[in-house]
Amino acid sequence: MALPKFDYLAPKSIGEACAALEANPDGGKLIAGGVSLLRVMKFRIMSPDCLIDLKSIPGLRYVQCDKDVLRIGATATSSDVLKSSDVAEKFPLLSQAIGRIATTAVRNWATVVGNICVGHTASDPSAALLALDAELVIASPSGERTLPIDQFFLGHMSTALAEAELVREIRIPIPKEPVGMAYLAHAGRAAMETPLIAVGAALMANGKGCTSASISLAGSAETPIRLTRAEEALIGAKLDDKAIHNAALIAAEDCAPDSDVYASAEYRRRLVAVYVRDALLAAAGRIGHA
Amino acid sequence: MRKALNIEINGRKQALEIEPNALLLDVLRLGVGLTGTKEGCGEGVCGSCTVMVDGELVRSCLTLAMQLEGKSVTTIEGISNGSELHPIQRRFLEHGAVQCGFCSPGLIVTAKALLSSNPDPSEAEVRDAIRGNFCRCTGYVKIIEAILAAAKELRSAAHA
Repeated sequence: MALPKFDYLAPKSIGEACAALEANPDGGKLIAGGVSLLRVMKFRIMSPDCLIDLKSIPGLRYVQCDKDVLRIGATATSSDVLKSSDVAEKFPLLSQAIGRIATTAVRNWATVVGNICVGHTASDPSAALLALDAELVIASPSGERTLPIDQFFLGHMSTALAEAELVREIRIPIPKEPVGMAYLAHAGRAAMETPLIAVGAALMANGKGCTSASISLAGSAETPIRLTRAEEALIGAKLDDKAIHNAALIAAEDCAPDSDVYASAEYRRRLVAVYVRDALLAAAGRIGHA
Repeated sequence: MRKALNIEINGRKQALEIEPNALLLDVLRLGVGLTGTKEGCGEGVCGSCTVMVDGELVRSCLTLAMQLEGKSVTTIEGISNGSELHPIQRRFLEHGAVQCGFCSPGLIVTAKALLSSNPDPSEAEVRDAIRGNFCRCTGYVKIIEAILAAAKELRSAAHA
């Protein structure tokens, strides 16, 4: 399958990349790994005049752990994140989500930032980063802004990136106390499949009960989402079967899945109830509750 | 308009002039005539087009060639030592892991990358490593046996 024709630009800095986007407002498109982009271009769903290569910019390929924050650079690959012992130790939820993606040959070239910028609802990294309260550092010709990831996804394949903006870095705050995390996905087959639905869960608790809860879903609404009402129901509660079942029922009420050739909306909604319950039980178990 | 690309393919430096929309797969098969790498699905799922870039597996059907300036590519043609087959290739033949053969180049390159980073994989690790390589003939059992046998042979050669 051949690609449509386009020009190729290799900027050497974020500034040059933003300028190239600004100079090509209609036909310019960023490429990092291109694993999603080149596919849709092959099907002529998208035909940009010009691809602007982020991988040609030095210094953006990093997974770096500071005192309070883990930083993932714009061209860090999924494999780079999987190989990070800091991620495996502090954010197992993210490792599990990224480990689900396709296979090594894809993860070695595809970037995590690229994956979330596609804006697909069934994106494993998006759900994981939502549950981890990640922030995105967004660069533009006029400077930088920081956006919480729960404000990034606007609709089907649509994000909050304005023209000439790009995501330079993902920042994940490092929790100061133990967090129980779990990531569970349901797919038709074990390998090479986007999930029908997926759940990320992160819980904190003390002797009295749950002190912090985040639950995210992929493939269960038009975009990846957080389940605020289910989270609120858990906070202050003892993390027992009853509270977790209740949160799972709220999750099933609050999701808004679509029907497609792979599964009906009703089936996805039932999966959400089961997988949210199981993810919460696993997460609670990891901090010695439930 | 064609653009310059300097790339190393199977140890040979190449100064190419390519269209910006060329995929690595096109450069290999049409540009330099290395037709061992196959195009299966063309969308990154089946694994037939798998090659290595700087020692790491990639899908050549979804890799824009212009992004590979200065990089080193290894294809199935770079796995054997001239006409002397690599132990992975020989074991594929001995174990009947090749039927139609279309998936074999991708599988053998994938197995090579696995055994380079993990010389003593468990069967589960082999299965996970080839989870993105579809074979519609063999049912995988003989492929897994061949890779495990090659791993054993390469380990004993390394100790000899």
